[in-house]
Amino acid sequence: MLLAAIAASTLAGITAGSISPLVVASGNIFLAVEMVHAVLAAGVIGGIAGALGWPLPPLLASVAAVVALGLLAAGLVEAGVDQDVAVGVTAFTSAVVVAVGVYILVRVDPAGASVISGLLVGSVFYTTPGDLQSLLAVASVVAGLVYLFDREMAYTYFDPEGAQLAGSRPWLYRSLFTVLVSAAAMSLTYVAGALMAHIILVAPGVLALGAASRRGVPAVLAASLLVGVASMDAGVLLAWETGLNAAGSVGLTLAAVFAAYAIARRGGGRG
Amino acid sequence: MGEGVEGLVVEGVYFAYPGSASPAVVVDGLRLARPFFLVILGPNGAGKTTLLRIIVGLQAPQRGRVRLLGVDPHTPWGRRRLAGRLGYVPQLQRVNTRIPLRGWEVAAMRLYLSSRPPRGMGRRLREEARRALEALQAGHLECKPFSEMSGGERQLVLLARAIAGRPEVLVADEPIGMVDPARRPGVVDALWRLHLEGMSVILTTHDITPFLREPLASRALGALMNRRLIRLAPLGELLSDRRSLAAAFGEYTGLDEALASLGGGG
Repeated sequence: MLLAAIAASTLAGITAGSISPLVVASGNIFLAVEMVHAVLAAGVIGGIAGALGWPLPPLLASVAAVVALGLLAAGLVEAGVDQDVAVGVTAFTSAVVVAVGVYILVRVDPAGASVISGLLVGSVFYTTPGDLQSLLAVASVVAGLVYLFDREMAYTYFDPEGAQLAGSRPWLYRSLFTVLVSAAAMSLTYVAGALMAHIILVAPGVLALGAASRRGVPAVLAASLLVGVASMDAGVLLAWETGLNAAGSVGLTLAAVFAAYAIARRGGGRG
Repeated sequence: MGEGVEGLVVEGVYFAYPGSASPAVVVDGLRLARPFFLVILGPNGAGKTTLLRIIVGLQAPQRGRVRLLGVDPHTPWGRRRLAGRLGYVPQLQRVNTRIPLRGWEVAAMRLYLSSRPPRGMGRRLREEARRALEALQAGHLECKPFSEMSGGERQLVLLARAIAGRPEVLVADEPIGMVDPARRPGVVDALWRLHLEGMSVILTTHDITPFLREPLASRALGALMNRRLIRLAPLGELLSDRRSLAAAFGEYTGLDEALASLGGGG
């Protein structure tokens, strides 16, 4: 059980570490948070469907929800709507779905509360081989595409108009980025829960940008990957040892990493 | 000015921002053969930036016709044909400084994105980026993080990005506005040298001092704008036309001080 959980957290760490620097540097933290809300909405809808006797594969429901809401946000932005407003529209949509969905779920299924709990704080110790396959697929796609197109995405978010005039297609890389963030949100919500997925999508990027931005994009990606994997694995081990849920233990681990980084920076500043 | 190989055509162009009763840009006719060196002058809000954005295809006019290097920049096909032939310097506030790029990586951006996939940040790109930075006497910015640069340094790196690989046309929006005054003539000289080698240049500026020298004053063109194109003429001639200057800037132009500081006449 522990090995499967470690494998799952490693894969989620790779996913988060790969996309997190772009989430932070491109100013898309709000979008990432919204993607987690979309996964939450999909989970609640899946729970209701299951309780009514129409089992809906959680992965399929999540993909459908995040892709639909991600494309809605991207479409609004391409139509000229301010990005924060566009994400706000999708956030409103998923928030309403979650709020109403939770009410319906506990009505139709008294055990629905456990579904909601799993979504909020993660269910990494119940990882099945099928889950691992899904997490591996997500990690491979996210990390592979980020490392393949890191320059294109960095340039797109550095100066989209300059990229367009140079012959690139900013809308294509923005859409790709949205899909990758959506996939990462699904993976992280499964492992660490929606509450902590918000943080894990952002924290490795913040730390890596602070520590390695002078060395350029590849160094930042490598640092973020390291922080993502290390904090997720350490968090799961802590959860195993203490019996704390995954969200809480990953949160504690990240807090420790942040504290260590802050102390190291202060020490470096004095030196 | 209209003879030779077609460089820039702006005809019957009218652009107004949504909800605005008055136009931001009106240009009845502007036709230049290449290579040209055009300096667009005008007060704040005169439509200089908007005109540049219309010329490169970032903003579509409600009416009129634009051709840059013989290509319509407002069609997908035209944009594809211009990619790689056009270097563009935006205003600084349009770039995101949080992206962790160093000087040479910014300078190589245009060349990287206009190359065919599979792309790579090879030695050739870095060499081209370094050459462009050195042409602007900014070689020391090669490894400096863009986020840690001053406004003037960022402008130099964005200018290097635009001239790296020698595109056929450079379109630059206030490229020297934040550069140290003492360095501005050197940057303008570098652009003039590129022009003499065949590059067409369009730029906007609020600081005319670096241009009030020969051979620029007599050979570069000036366009005076205040929402509409008021006059197109060689720079020196334009700057001595008090009536046109007053039409664009009002009574105070700052020109007298600039000319006096150079020991020149009016």
